[in-house]
Amino acid sequence: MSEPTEPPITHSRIARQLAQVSGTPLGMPTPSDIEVGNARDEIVPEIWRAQALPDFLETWRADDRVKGCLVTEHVVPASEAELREIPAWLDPRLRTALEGRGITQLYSHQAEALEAARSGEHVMLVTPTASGKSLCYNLPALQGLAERPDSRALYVFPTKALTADQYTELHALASTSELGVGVFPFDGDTPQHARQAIRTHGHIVLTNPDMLHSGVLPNHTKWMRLFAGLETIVLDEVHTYRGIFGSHVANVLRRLRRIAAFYGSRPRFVLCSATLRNAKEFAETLLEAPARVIDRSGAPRAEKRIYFYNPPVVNAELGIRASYIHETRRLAERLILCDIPTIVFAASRLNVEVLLKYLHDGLRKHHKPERLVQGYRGGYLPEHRRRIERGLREGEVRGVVSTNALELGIDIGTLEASVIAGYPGTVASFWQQAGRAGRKGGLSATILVARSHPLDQYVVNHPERLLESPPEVARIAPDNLFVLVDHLKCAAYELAFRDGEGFGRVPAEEVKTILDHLVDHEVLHRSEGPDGATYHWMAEAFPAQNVSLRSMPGENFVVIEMPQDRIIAEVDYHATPTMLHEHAITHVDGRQYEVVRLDWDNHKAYVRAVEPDYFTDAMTYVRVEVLDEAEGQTGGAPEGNGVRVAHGEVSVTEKVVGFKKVRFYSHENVGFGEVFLPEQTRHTTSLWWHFSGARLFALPYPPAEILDALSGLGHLLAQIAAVEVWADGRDLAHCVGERTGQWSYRSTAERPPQRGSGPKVTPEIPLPGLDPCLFIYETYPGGVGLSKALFDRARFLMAAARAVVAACPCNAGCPSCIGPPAPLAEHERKKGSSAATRTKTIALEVAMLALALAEAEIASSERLAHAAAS
Amino acid sequence: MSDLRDKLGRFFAGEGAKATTVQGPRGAQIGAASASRIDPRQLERAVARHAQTPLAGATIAATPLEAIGDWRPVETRRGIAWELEERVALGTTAGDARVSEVLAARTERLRDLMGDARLEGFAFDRATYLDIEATGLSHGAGTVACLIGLGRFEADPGGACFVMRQLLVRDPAQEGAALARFVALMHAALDSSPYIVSFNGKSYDLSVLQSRLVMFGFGDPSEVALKLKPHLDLLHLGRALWKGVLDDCRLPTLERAVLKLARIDDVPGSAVPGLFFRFVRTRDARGFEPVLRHNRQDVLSLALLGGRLATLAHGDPIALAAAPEAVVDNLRRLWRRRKMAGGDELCTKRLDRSRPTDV
Repeated sequence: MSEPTEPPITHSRIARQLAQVSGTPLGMPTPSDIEVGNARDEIVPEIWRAQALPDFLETWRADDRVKGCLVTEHVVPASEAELREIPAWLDPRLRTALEGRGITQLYSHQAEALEAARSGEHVMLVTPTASGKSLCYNLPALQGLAERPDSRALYVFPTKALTADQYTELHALASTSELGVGVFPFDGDTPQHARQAIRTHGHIVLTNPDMLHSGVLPNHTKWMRLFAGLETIVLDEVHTYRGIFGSHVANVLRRLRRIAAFYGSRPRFVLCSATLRNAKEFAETLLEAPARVIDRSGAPRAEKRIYFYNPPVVNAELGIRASYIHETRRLAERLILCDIPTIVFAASRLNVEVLLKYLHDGLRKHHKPERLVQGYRGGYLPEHRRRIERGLREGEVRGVVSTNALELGIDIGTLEASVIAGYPGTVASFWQQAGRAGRKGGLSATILVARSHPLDQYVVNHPERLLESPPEVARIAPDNLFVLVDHLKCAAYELAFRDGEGFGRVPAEEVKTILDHLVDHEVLHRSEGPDGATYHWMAEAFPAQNVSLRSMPGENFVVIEMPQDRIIAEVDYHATPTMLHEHAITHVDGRQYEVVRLDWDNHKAYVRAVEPDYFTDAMTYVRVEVLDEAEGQTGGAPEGNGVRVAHGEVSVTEKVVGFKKVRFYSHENVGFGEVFLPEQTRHTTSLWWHFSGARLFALPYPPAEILDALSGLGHLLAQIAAVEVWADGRDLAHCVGERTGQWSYRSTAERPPQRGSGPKVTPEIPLPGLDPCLFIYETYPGGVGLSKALFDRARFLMAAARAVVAACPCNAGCPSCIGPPAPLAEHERKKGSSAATRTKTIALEVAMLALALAEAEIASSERLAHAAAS
Repeated sequence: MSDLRDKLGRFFAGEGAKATTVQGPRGAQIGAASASRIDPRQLERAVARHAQTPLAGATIAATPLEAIGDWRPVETRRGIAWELEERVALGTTAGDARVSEVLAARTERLRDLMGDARLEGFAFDRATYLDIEATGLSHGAGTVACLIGLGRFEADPGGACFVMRQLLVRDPAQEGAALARFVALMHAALDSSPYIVSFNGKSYDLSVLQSRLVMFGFGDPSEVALKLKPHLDLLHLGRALWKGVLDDCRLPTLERAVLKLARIDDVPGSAVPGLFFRFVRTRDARGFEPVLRHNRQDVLSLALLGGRLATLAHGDPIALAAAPEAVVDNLRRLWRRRKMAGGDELCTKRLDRSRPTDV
């Protein structure tokens, strides 16, 4: 054994450390990676003074500690503008208004968009942030109004905050052009008394898909003027309409087009998006019509520097790196103390709150006001959000910590630096978050701080994948049956369906099948008339109310502070079991609250303010059952031979069973608790490897360790799969179980310990005759077609996973590959056996088995085919 | 995949909490719809998620509409509309009010009382009384005006009487015809009955009707211009007088207080949508009859209540004497708010009147 350079590793210290790194799927709230030793050193106050960003970066890069961690510095050079003349046909009042803002020429892409819109084409604009895209749609809309005062325009933004931002800009342009145009935002915050006025006098109405879905479309008779004159519809940030949310929005658009047609209008669409590999296809799927793509930006660009920072390894044997949360905190604190406006993006709400707390603590130690750093996340009430935005604009706030809520182009003042804590899961999100810094020109910097997760490590070790590779693909499945049925109900409520009527590209026969089914369930009534049958809404409920475009079906929960009985936040249905179980420590605005009671039926969580020295992390148990196999690999069933790869429909049941208490700063486990909450079941699609138990457990290792390794392999596979199909890391999850769903594997780290101390953790003994299945499933009901795409590349995925494990420098498994070895393995190691190093080896063998058996299957079926042919 | 159809039993359970096993009348046909690419099992799950529990099939013979009243088909440019006409003699009473009273009501001050110049010249025999029943409280596109009740004073060869007409949507496909008839009736009465009287009609009834007219393509609403007509909404008048005196100012509450009328076995408004859906599905009018009765009573009450409230608000001494003190206080405040002279004397008059009979 070589001389240890670290203090002796004691069992208890490792146990504490390992207990946190539980290999949970990417994106789920996790406590940060382990911090060894240095935590206390960070709290020594240092003197920092205001600095300009270039100087700051010089100093920072030269720092010894930083040097070793900086993996990449990528400079996006400044570029010049490409200009064109303003078209002669533009109304002189608009021209004057532009000149008043110093605009005498247009960027090339703006001119192109203007011409395309005038010719009536649908336009898909794919340009980076801060490229003046607003003019690309504001000018056509205003020009239309200048020529025809009865024309109308509808703008749709993904969030209210973005709507507010664009409204300010459009309103300014409209007023200075003196066209007499009424521009209004219309969303849930619009007061009742203003709504009727907006409906009648709003020439351009700004809204969001949710309001369109549940407010505007179901009340379309009140919007008659708008629909009858509708010429232009603008959809901004459409790349956010991916996955299941996008599938919903695609259907809302189908309803919108249907209603516009009812009033006799055929509006043209202007779509704006971040870069996508399949921009044209995506636009045409959303619109169900051809679109012209404009993707070369003529806007000038200031220099941008991008850094990839990989926290230092503090324990080579176990492959443990310093906590990325602490690294982020240190960097953000330095930036803020140097008076550089900074935004910090964290992958989950929990991490936002933890970082916020650490930053506030740091500010206090430097005798600076806490208000310099604010948190920003979707669950906050609107007034709170507006206050933060104002603080940034006026300079009272210098730092913001956020989930992705701000990554959409909101004008909140010049931010010069963005620190991204953990790869956000998609290339588009990364660039959006990077783009938040430097909107007003001048040098800006983005620093990505990597986590130990396989995906992050992959990205920082292959920076070209993020920086230079082609952008990702946006996928939607507008015909996902769960989504389609919901929207057909809404559409029937809005306008009765006639026999022979289709819905978007859904053919009439399919629409009829679904409508007839709804008649059977007494949701619709079918009337026979002289011109054929019509289907009418005949139920009391208001369908759009029960259909949420964003979260999985179910209503939000409200968080109520006791004893004041005051609502302080909202949490969506899906996040509630992990965030609001009883005794959870939940964070709102940097303050901690303990959940005293969760009223599941009434969707309320009662909390009281506390000041604990720990936070909580929920433990979830997942079971998967195969419902229907769509396609399987050719070859025999596993009963003889080996492994079968297939994809199809599954039922996923999730249950939060307990939680861990994790101390701040040291991140040690200081307790466990049980949680009693109902199971949540949903049906979705999945890819799976179905192993023959006989072959799998024939490997020369204890079955428990084999399962452990299989689970680690699944963890890695899910990450690689996400990259492979350009999905968000949260769109996929893994589970080791078996086909009937009666059993599923839980790693020892995920299970509460037995009574009493010591490593008496009993391993999970599989049932005899068990044929384990490794599932990689989609996290949304119905899925969006990822499973099929993954099935087609299954062999590649397994081979890639095997390669990552083989190449990983750790000894026994680490967060960067299959996850850390289980505490049991550590116990074995103390005894001197070689068990500790086995998990990785086993994982390799399992992967080889899967690959070899797959090869064998194909070879044997080829031989059979060959024999049959000859 | 076809071999898996044998496992149908498990797949027909609904998703999530509600597991309804549904074998609808088209159950057998689901499997046969193989030409479509929709997986019937998935479809079942998707539909069952938010569906309601279906009503038990009606096995009793349905009573047709014609059997419960003199419902007549009327030709319109949108098809057949179904109408019931009831002529109410002036001597008819409800509670302690008589229909003939309404014609004697004092209306000269209504314009000032309501602060609405369009009510100039208002008279109860020049008004259309309007009350609808609809399938929901929301004014959304899916809310159907299933029953429209209209009342008017008309001159008969035998004398004047109060004529009530109801237009019923027997099937959603016939709603256009009912609306066409409604528009025709309103148009015909443009000169004789230009005023509208309703209870909360300004917010509800007219909004729903407007919405339905747009849905059925009756042109720009300004053509029919319901909301532009002079409108006396009794909810506002009732509230102005009775606020703080009664538990609430809903129509049945005011009926009891002002007309001494208590309805027996009246159907609550919330039950109307369900009863209408059942009527459409089963065609059994007997279940819907209470709603028809309720609507007719509503229309009649509009006239009776209107007359009494107007007379009281006018400052009629007899009406004042019969009214509670608090109501007179409210009235005084209303007169003051509307800058009407003589409000303070209202109190005095009442005291004068009541003193000799005070016990």
